[in-house]
Amino acid sequence: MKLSKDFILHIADGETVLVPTGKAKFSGVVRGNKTLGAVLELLRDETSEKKLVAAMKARFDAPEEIISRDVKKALGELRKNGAIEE
Amino acid sequence: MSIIEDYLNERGTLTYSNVGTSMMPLLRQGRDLFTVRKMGQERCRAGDVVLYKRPPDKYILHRIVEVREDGYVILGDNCVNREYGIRDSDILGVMTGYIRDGKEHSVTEQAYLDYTARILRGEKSRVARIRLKQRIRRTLKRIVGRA
Repeated sequence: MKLSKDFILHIADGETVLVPTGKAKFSGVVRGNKTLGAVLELLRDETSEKKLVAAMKARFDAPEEIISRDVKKALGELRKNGAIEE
Repeated sequence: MSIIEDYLNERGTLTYSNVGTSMMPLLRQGRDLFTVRKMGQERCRAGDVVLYKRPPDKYILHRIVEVREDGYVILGDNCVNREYGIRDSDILGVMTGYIRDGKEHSVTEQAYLDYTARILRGEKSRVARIRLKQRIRRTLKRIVGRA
């Protein structure tokens, strides 16, 4: 899976903004914290949920269950908005 | 009220993407983002890029080319037709910056100010150039269509 080309990702001052282009069906703005920013950055390249959890685990000092739950939640939101190409 | 208006009211600023080519070469569809600040009580100035609502539900980001007592005259940087009678109450926000290739730019940067000055000064010649291009494109289409 990968971040859809129909979205533009911008990360500045610790805040993540994911904005749809005219081609996306979604018309809102996805805003998030460092965790979502990290997930989105990793989604710039082809990856999998398993790889995402592993990369996040290497980056953040948190138990795997929590990371796994946060990644699942973030992916669920992004899928709902059509921001992920499978 | 739309998501865009709700968002601006709630946060005061909005970063978003443009649709179409009307603000080329400043904003490229699918590649660049712009940031607008919610409109306050102040009046806008010639050169300001503003987000306004065209009823019933179209949102436009174009540049003010003339300020009149009863409203603004607005034109996209890559457009040929001026829009008249845009009132302060139609304007939702004023562009404060844009993001190109991941880099943030402010409208206070000298390069942007120079670009704006060129856009305002060169309106007639720019519009004539765009019209000529459109005519050539139409003619070529007609010729290709006949072949």
